[in-house]
Amino acid sequence: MTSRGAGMIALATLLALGIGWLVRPAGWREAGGVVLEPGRLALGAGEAAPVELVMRRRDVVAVSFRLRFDAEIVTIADAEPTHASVFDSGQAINLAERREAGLVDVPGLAMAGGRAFEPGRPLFRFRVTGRRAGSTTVMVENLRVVDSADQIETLDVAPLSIAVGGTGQPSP
Amino acid sequence: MNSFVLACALVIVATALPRSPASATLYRTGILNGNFATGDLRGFRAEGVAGAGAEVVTQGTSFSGLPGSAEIPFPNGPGSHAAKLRSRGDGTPGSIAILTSLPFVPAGDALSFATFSESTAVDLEVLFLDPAADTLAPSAAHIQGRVSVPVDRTYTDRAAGFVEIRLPLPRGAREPTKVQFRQQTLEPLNGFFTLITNIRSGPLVVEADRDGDGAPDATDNCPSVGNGDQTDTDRDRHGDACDNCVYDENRDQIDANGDGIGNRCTLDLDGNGFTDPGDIEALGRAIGGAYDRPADLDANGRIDLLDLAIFSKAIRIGIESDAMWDFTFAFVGQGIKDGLGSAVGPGMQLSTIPGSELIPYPTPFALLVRSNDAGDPASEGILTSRPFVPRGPHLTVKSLSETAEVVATLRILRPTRWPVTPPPEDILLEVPLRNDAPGTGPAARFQEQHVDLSPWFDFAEPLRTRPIQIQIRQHTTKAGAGYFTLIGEVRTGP
Repeated sequence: MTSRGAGMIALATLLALGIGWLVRPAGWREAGGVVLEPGRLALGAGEAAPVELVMRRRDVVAVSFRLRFDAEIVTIADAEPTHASVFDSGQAINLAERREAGLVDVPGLAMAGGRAFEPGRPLFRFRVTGRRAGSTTVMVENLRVVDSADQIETLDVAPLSIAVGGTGQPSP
Repeated sequence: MNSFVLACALVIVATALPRSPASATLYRTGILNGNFATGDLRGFRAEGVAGAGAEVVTQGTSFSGLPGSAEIPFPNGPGSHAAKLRSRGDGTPGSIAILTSLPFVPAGDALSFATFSESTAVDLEVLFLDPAADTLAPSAAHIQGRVSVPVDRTYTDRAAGFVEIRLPLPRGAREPTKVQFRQQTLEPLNGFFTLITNIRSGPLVVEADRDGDGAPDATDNCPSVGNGDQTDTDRDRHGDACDNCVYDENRDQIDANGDGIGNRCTLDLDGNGFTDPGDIEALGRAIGGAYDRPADLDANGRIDLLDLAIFSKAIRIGIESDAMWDFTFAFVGQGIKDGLGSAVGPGMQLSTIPGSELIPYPTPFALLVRSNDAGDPASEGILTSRPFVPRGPHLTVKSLSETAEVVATLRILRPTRWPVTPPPEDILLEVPLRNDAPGTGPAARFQEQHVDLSPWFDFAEPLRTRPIQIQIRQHTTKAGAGYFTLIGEVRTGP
């Protein structure tokens, strides 16, 4: 092969790669959902445990959801996104959550600059504390995701089952 | 069988002959059945990739899943025909409808046709092919020319109107050619049609060209501002010179607040002139709260998670790689005279000089910039970052050039509409890129270079620092071969 011929092949490869580069975000999405980890908790009254909402899907750039729970049996505290804000040291946009009795509304978490959430990494964390004996769940309601092609999808998330026993100090 | 052999022989003779006026006598002059008056595709070949196809349709008949197609007026009136090209709408990637004429000798220097597309989310290309070209996947050597046709009419009813397009023939009159239309739907879950009729070749009439840039208004991607190079960085069919989001695709060009910045790249929702936490608060209030028009970035009448996604995508603070993003995403590649800029990965052979596949990269991907294959000194490869706010007053760049026979420069730009040829007022700084240890192979090492961004960095309120762009330009100094320069890392910080 002449050097010019080899050069043409190299150039063609680069051009093909360049086209691939331009379209590379496409086709990234794969099946996978969002899960609460752990999926089950046994607590004593006054006892607390950390819980994380973990993104397992690729190519998700924004997410919103609500956590609903029985405030008579458990409390949720320290609820916060795990990705630092783009205005601090991170690359996330985190809208402030809203709270009511038995509800944490997270209106939006997103990644900046064309990034996506890293699959397998938590996107939100909170602490569950048992208040009094009983069984309940933490439901993740209306969890919506947006992908890099601006497609919106609503995903189901398995609830967190919690059994609060009678031991420990009752939580206020 | 005999006729098949004869046909093969004719094809062989036709393809073996050199291009000359004499060869033209083998072909008909003018396009056969360009208005599809026969009611079929006589004179054309219909093909499709991945389920796409072409057929003839008639005015007054319904030929789309969407209502209104029976009301679309055709240029030749009731009962007349057009070719319908339609790519698949089930998310099938690479679905392309193809319509190709028989080879013909043009009756003039121009091709004209009337076309109408169901949606703007359609890519319509016209290719001029050598008679011997493969029609499904013509090789570059057989493509005489190709033109992307602007598609900006969207109606599907009696308000629909065909647009008359006129294109100069790349090889002029008398040179035989095949004209090919390739249609692709750009939305993954929809399939749209394009109608074409009145395909003719004729004399080249001087076209309206309001901005005098040499691109006729009918195909000019920016008809009101001169942009002879037709650069369209985000490939949204709006040339950079008049695109209200140069680096983010926004075919709709919606600019709800009329500030000249398209909704897709709006970064100041509270109107204080900067992107800061106040904008996040404004967006948070609007989601589920009172309607706030500036926050309705997709202009759909409600403010929701999609608006947050659009806003977030446009925010670029810092440029360094992280776990789910590498710095090469921040750059677009362009070139002058076939120079190029592109992303490459370790292990790739990048040059005829052995060893480039063994170069150790400092990051998972790198950017490559180089002039054309022949090393024409007038050829330049260009890499331009999207506008971003630096994380600090220092810029670090790691680079490696293949040989000493290249010149690469690093520019700091204020956000420009002219990335290929920025005007002087948009160039804040230009410095040579280090090239004192060129090389290739496993021993080659990227060299680190630091650039002071202090003059443009707001130390008191870093988030109020104006966005900048980084540009790398490279050319070979000695004609004969084009050599590469690799950019292995770019980051800003304290």
